[in-house]
Amino acid sequence: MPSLLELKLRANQKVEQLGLPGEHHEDWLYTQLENISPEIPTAPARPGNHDGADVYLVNGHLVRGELMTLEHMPPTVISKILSLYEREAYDGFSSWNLSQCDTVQVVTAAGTMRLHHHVTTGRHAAHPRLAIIPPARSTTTLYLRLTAEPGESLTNLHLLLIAENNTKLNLVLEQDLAVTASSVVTLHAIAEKDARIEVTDLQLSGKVTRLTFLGELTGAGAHLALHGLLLGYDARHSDSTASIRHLSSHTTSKETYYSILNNASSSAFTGHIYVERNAQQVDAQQLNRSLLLGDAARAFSRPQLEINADDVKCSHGASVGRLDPTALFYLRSRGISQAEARQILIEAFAHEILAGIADLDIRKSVESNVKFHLQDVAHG
Amino acid sequence: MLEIRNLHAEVDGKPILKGIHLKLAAGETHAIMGPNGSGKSTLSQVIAGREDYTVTQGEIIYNGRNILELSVEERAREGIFIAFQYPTAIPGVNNMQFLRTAVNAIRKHRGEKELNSGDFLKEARYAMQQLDMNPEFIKRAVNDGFSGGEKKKNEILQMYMLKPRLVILDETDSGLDIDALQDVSRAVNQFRSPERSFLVVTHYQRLLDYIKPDHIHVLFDGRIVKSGGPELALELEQSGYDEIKAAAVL
Ligand SMILES: Nc1ncnc2c1ncn2[C@@H]1O[C@H](COP(=O)(O)OP(=O)(O)O)[C@@H](O)[C@H]1O
Ligand SMILES: [Mg+2]
Repeated sequence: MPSLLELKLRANQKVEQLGLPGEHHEDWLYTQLENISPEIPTAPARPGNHDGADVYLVNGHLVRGELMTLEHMPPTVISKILSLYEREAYDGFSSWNLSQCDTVQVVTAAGTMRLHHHVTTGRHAAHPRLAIIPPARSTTTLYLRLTAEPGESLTNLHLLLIAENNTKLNLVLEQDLAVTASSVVTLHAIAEKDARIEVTDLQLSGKVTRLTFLGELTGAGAHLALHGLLLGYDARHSDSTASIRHLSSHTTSKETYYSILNNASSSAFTGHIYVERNAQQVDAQQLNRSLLLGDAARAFSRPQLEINADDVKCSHGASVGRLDPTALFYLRSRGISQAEARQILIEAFAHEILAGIADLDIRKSVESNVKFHLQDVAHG
Repeated sequence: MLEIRNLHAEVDGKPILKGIHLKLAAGETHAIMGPNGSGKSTLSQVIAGREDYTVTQGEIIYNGRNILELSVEERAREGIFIAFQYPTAIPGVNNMQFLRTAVNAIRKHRGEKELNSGDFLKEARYAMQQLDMNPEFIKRAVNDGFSGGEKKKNEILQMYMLKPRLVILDETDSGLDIDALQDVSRAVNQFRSPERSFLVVTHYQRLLDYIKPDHIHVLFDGRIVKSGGPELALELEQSGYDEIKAAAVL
């Protein structure tokens, strides 16, 4: 087993050789991160005023709250995490993060935790790296909010979620940056036997925001849900490129992505589903719906199915539409103004994703952030 | 209250209403009957202000004012209400929040202060009880997964809460069993007053046993071809619309 330092060195070499993926790479076709290259300096440590989160990080550094670092973990946990890092396929952003991250912050406690990562203004990149590995048979809910001040910064986050035997792990991930800042989140989630992972991916604001998701179902009874809400206005782009790998029989997954786009904004959802040879009794569902409010807005949807077993239920659906004129008329016929009727219908569309957040306090926080940005989306 | 003069309307260049004349005084209830496709729903929705229909000629005078220039929501705020033949389901929009938003939009227009949620709920519960409606419906999404009868009751609940001056009931009886028909009719009859007028659109005579009209108009091919007293409904019941169709062709 290579040490963290060895993995960092290797990652650094790879980044020097291969650079960051761009348009020429199929999975990055729609994510245009202009002016972002590995030459960009790493954001400096800064103090910060936390906003009530349990854990507050600024530019990749822990400012408030308690997180363990990898070297303080028991050897079995260290080797589990490092071996997962080692076998991750090469991805420029992930490797760049590994080469630059200060340390690996580890969450091992069960329960509910609010984390906030903030990037200060400047042309720099932050490379936080977190591993979440709660105790087996526990329930854990994390709300991780990413913010950035105005400036051409990049938040380049790497997250590892490990749900062991019978563990329930919920993550609400919110990308809510200033309109000039960008973020790329690489999320590697592993659901072992009878484990349930539920991820809600909220991309609300930022020049370019992206989730690169790799989900693996490795034991019977494992379930993985990935729900996303992608909001767009101005020329903003949001992207979710998700690969879900059913590596065991009796596993289920569900992906639901909704986009709401105005002006010249765009979103892309790439949903790759892989079913291992002879992984039977698999159920994989995928749904992607887009609501276009502006004439120049565009939604890209790419389902990719790769199924190597025969007893598999797999469904996918995609739709792109506009606000339902009949519903608008109905609301207005009761005295509700056109603007308010639009707002009501747009919020209802978004609500279908938010309703899936089980923790009511977290849902409330998210709802108010979403509502705030939906005003920009609705008015264009 | 309402006067329609020589109203012509079309959709996608196809004429549907071909010169409607109608006068409805405050406190009166008129029935509009006619076979399927004669233009009853079109007339109802043109009065409500649906933009899919283009009015090519004529006027709709409501309380002394031509309302053709008013938007849908302005007409609603002025007191025009239509109970739709096919109420729209709106998934994700809570019935109570929707109705409260509507009530307060209309109250604001009238210069009244907003109804707080306690008072609103009290009134809504009472109305639902009158309609024999399951109180759970107020918590669900607007018309989403409602049966035909539940949707129609939900329309009448909205009428009750919004307190309009002119009510158009477009085939409110269709899809209702006899109990529901009685519940709805009772609620409508309680709502009748000297200041309110009703336009009851129906295909069948059945509803008019419960909601007694002052006048009946028969609509055929976009025109009112016959008007008369309540006895006209019985005539139609016996002879059907064939006679009227035959007469219109001549
Ligand atoms: N939105 C529309 N687009 C096209 N045709 C319509 C539309 N609405 C009504 N029509 C046509 O107008 C005629 C009258 O319809 P409608 O008003 O619904 O009749 P009724 O309610 O009396 O059954 C029918 O021929 C119908 O097909
Ligand atoms: Mg009709």
